[in-house]
Amino acid sequence: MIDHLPVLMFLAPFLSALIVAALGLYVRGAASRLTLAALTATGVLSLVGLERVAAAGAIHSHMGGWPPPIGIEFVLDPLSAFVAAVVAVVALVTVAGSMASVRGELPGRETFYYSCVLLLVGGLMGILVTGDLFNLFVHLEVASLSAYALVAAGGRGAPRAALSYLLIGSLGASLYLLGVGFLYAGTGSLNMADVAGLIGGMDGRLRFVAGILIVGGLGIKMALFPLHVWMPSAYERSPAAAASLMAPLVTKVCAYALLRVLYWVWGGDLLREGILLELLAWGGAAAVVMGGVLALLQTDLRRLFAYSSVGQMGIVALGAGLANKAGMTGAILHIANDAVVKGVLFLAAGTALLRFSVRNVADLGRLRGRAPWTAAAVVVAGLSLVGVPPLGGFFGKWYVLTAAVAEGRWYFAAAIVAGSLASIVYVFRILQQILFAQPAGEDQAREGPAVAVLACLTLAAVVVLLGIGNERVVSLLVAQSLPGTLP
Amino acid sequence: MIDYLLHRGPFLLFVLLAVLGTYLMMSHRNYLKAIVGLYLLQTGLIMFFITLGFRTGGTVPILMDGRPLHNPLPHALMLTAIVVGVATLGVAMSILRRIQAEKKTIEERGDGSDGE
Repeated sequence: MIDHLPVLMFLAPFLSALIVAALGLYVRGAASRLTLAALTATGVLSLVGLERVAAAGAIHSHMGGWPPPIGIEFVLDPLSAFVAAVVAVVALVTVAGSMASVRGELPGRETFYYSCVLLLVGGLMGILVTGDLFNLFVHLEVASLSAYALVAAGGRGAPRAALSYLLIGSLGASLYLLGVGFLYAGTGSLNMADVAGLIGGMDGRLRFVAGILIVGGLGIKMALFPLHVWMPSAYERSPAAAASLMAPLVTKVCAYALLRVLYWVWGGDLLREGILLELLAWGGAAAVVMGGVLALLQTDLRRLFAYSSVGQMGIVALGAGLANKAGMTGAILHIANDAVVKGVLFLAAGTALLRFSVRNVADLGRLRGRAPWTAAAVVVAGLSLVGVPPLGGFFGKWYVLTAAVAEGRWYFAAAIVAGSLASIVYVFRILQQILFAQPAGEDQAREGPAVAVLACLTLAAVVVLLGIGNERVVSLLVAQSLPGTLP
Repeated sequence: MIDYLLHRGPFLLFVLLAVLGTYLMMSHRNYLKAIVGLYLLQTGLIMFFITLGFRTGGTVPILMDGRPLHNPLPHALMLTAIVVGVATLGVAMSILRRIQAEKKTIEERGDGSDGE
């Protein structure tokens, strides 16, 4: 049974999506309950997986009993177990938290919404557990197609945002697939572990082209600056409930995919000879600075958060590009941090929009004193985004910063500091509005739906735990998940 | 020259389709043309993978008559990729219909309703 855990983690949301789509049309209210049950199951399976992998090492599961490299392999190793646990928990909490708003926001379309949500989570889980390069592409497209549909379900301007997302996203997936084609041409295999063994003997030029294509393709999917153009509009226009699920998870899982392919297929030694890591590090540094600067210029709350994600993904890319232990630790920690933090912020932005009709940062003053619990969660998440010490966000940045200093690359350290300074400004613009502004208007609206408040507080608690318990998280979970070849 | 083209034909077709498709996607004003571009790019990719499986003098992998076999794996992969491509096309077209309903146009910037 435990051998099939990776498969079950993927099948739980994926099959439920089909059941929800079939049943939800006939039974009123079944869709949301089934979705919650499926996501709870996914969460439990992921946590069990995390525990099993920490105790007994990686779990390999062979599709149809065919051993790799012939058959498709699902692998739950320390890295995928850690990210999968984060993804499953954040998905469960954000979907539960936005449940109350879905009824108002997408009346009559709940069934389709929930089946897309489950397909998205299924695709993301698939990306996390697969050990096959082509299979990764298929899961990437399952997740992406559901994401396009979810964005398109939004209000005015959403279909346009969704179509640009679709065109750019599909271009990214095509580039990735072409890169995999070059790898296949050079090695004759698609199993990641198998390709990792053969890639050293591959023609150098072919390998170089494959690397550029894969980094470019997954760079688009993880919104690495300057390939981030699809993201702000998509998350600004999509339904609030969908944004609170997608913004925390999609780019993070794609960043995981990039780490997986680079460090588990190419491997650290080969990477250090090429320019892929330099490309990633410079792209990351540019993203950290430009994400911060562009976020400063935004007036729309969700657009601002999306640009802040550009900066946070930059830290992940920079950490991965520095190719030492501290950098990778920071990158992996920051994937988890940004997933949780953006969960809080997008849920709160949904509450602001649906309860208080507030889209812009300048109008946030209307919330002052009206939603104290949501505000408390936003304060915690915001401070973590800035990188205030006891919170989760600090440690990701700190590890990457020490990695940059250890490599003697002071300009990368300076980029992180500059990005953090920018984030101080945009976060305090928000905090100033919700904490100190003069309330305007007479509307008596109060705190958002109870589930949304609870979800915000839960995720805020996780942010605090990731910070306070950081030493344990790193020593028990992240340290095991580092690739073996790092200095 | 003819010989060269005959040997490299499928690769050249892939390059042509991919470049044409990417160009259409990048230079589009009309969303439908951009979607066509995407489809051309995906078709080019399918061409590329199929070419990888080709062996000179080969035969279909169910005839075991001593001749070398074409590699069937890329075909199997491309079946999946075709399904993905069709699904993408379907989602794109339905989104396009919503754009048309909302903006009365399928041009990228062709409406007066708001200044995005």
